Amino acid sequence: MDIRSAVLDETTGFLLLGFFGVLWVALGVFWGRKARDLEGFMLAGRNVGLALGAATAMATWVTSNTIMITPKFALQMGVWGMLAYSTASLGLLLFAPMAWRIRRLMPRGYTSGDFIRLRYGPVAWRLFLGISVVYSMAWLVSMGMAGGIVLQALSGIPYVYGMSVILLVCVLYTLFGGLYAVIGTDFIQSLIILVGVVVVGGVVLSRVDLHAFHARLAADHPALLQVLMPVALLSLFNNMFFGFGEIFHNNVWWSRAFAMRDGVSHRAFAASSLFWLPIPIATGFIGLCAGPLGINIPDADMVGPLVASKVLGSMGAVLVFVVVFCSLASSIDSLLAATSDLLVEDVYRKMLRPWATEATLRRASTFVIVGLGLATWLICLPRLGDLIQVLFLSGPLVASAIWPVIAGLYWRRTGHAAAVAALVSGSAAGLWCYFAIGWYAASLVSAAVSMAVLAAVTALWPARFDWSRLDEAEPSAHEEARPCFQAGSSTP
Amino acid sequence: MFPSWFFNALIVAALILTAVSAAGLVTLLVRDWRNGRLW
Repeated sequence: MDIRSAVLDETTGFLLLGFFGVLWVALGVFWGRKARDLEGFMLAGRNVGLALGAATAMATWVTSNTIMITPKFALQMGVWGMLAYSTASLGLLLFAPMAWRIRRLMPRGYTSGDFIRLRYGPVAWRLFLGISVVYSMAWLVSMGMAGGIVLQALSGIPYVYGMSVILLVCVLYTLFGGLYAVIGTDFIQSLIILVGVVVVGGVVLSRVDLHAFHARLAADHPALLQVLMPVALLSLFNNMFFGFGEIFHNNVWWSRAFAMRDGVSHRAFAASSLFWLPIPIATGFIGLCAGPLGINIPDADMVGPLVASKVLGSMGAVLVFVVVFCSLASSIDSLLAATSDLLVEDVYRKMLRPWATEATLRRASTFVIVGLGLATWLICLPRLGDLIQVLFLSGPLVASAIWPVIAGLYWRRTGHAAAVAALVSGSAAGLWCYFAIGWYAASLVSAAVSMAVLAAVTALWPARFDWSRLDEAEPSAHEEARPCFQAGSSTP
Repeated sequence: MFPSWFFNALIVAALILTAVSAAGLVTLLVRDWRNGRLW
């Protein structure tokens, strides 16, 4: 992106960054007072209601890409570009019944790693943790880099400053407030995002005649309205399966399922899916309007902000800046909290210190959150463009986890051999496809191979899992915790 | 080619649904808060 295309001056950018940074940290400290114990810090007391639950799921899934890249997608791939992006909401919808079952089977669970360990045993658990941590770090780094790049493009704030401030703010409020702070700020951020999109989209809509707009698109760029686009359809299904893999396996979503009150999680995820669904179409429409509004686009990545600032003036530019900042913060804070939970619960507590006290675990959380923030900052610092590829590369890895997770929740005959074989074969086939064919088919191939292998191994060596083993008792300071490798290996 | 009516309906529906989502979130928040079930 080119700094010369900035739609806001640097001083205003710094002022907005400072104002919202201080606001999020102050709210984090305020809400953090509710986190009196580890369960409060990691899972907001397992009592989150429908409104906050739905908002946090929606806001986390709205990343800076949803705001900045969808207009570009629409500009390049037309109607299918918008629709392909909006299919990512299906992952949230399909996770809704899973969240209900997760809450029922594991009322005392902490992480997605807990589930894989108890359901499939240590080998699948370690593989799963590897995939999950690689993916989470890739997402975290891509969001940190996107923060620096997008804020620089919008306001001219130097990359290092923008990236550093956004990471620092998210680390601080996650550190002080844990999941309470993350969920509370997510609600405000989701409202800002929705209102921002409606205001800009509404004003743009009032400036164009839709019938004339369609006729002009059909005449000048018929490909954007074409129904049959094989590559677009393939990428649509690929994105859909990448999204399923991301949501089904990642602790960001599992921690929310554990954090919500009984009977709320499935409704909250279904609602968040509906809230998320129209956003890519609305932002995509804003991008498509660049031509009819006579806006010159020197840089396709900046089409959304350029249209907003053209129709709403400096207010439009401020609005886009704030919406992008909110979308970045709502994803980074969730990733920091959920990845730190995974490392503290699965690696520190289950692998290294099974008898750690609550105070020790709370201290470990602090170190892990700061460490994650620092590691992300160091990786983001050199601004290596190729790092973004790691996120795409993790697509086939996470897609291989789709069926082990689904079968693990609903099919008692699936044992650890099937899960391990599915994870390994799906990842290998997906990675081969990524390099041999292209990114647009890698996740699809990974999910298909993983499914076939899981079904075949389950048919050949069926297990009979006892669901009650998923409800693991809390190891107390007075009670000897069982070593993790005995806790829940699934016998075929 | 996507017909004009489909294209127009898609855009208008997306904007209306986004506005309804914002209103829905606030309504849910007020309801949860009144019932003491925020968190």
